[in-house]
Amino acid sequence: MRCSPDDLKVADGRVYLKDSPEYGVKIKDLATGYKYPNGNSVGGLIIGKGSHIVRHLTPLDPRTGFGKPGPQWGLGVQVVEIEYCPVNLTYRVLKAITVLDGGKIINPQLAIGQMRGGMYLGLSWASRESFTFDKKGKVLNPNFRGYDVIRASEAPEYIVDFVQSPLIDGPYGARGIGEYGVIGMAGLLQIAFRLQVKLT
Amino acid sequence: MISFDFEYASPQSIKEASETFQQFKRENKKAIYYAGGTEFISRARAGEIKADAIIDLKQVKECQQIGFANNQLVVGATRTLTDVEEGNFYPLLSDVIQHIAHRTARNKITIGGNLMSHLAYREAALPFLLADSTLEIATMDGNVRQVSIHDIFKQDLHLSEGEFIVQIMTDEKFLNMPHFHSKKTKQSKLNYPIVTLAALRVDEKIRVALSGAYPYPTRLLKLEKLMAAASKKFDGNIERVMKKLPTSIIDDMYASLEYRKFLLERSMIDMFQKLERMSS
Repeated sequence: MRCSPDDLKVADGRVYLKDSPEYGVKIKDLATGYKYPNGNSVGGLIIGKGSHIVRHLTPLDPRTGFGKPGPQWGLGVQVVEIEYCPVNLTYRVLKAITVLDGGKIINPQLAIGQMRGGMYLGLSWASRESFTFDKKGKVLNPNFRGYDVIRASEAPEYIVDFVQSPLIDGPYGARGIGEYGVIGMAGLLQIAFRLQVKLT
Repeated sequence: MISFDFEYASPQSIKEASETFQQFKRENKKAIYYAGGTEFISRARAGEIKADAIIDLKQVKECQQIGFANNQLVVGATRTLTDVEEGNFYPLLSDVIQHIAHRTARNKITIGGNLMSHLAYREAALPFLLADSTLEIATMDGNVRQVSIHDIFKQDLHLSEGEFIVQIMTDEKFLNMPHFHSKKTKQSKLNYPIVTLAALRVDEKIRVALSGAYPYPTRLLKLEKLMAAASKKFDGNIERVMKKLPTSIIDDMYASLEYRKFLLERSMIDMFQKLERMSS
């Protein structure tokens, strides 16, 4: 770049001259070492380091309920669609949908996978995963033959999308999206059953 | 992990298998016959069974036979469920087998192993019960005897000490008769059956067998007699059918007695609708 490091800016996936943005290199061409057209490489792997902590959290006051246990209120919507057979009283989950305000989504595939996994977990718990005990407290289903989980072939179609309103003090505007996929599934499955039974 | 040591023998013939068993017996060792291993391995790991020796029957030629001989379908006892399913010799048998466990397990589970399972289900027995199959049994002295499945399969398959199933023979005439099969589980297709119903229409008469509903697979002979004597169709008269069934329906963590009864009724209705309609 023929300049001092102070003259550079990193933004929009590039490193470029502050005063002449047309002179720049893509980050993806630098990340694992820069390669000149003649094959020579310089720089090596770029390793970054950073940390983030959520500020001002407090436990909830058990008396008043006041406090700040998390950085934000999650805002999202979830849907479960089932197919119900009134003759055999059986059902199938066809679709599970999550749309969530995730703030800035840094890694879309990871975020989608997180939501899908969450929906899977919620549906599997709600519909079948549980230990059964006998009167003496012995677990009757200590292995996966008896402890049923949703299998890949029985998984619904998962649909995931995000609204991205940045969290101002979040890293790059990201919001925490850990467990949101799970939350609505059990309730939604129950509502779906209730609606179906009412309809038929 | 299997927490005990055991010897392994792989005899090449019925005679050698029996001799091996006798030898272990003389040495005061508990030997058990072995084929696919799915049950032995999982139960040994769980500490539910122990043995000093296992005698693997998979190298015994007669146990591996599969195909037709003398107007009979012959299925060797150590043939895997996958072998039988893919051979598709007996469509009802293939149907029933396809719904046992999952493919990876079926690649290992054998027909003989399924008939001898300690579990209540043993669904592979149903098509053989319906077709009055014959079992060839090897005895401890190295001979074989043939016996009707009805004389030996009474809730459990009763073998004497040192005996093992060599093969199962089924008269060709039964193989392509109209049939019905339905398996109901608590949730997934892969789970143990709450009710598996298999039926065969033989000379206008319906034969019915069940697994999952009772602690053993069973043919419903009383019901069959009632149906054979009746002039009217049963589709729509399900209460009468249910009255003829054994009452010892299972009530466990997979399904309550009431739910099993409900699914049993549903399966019966579906069966009548399919098999009675065909005859009209």
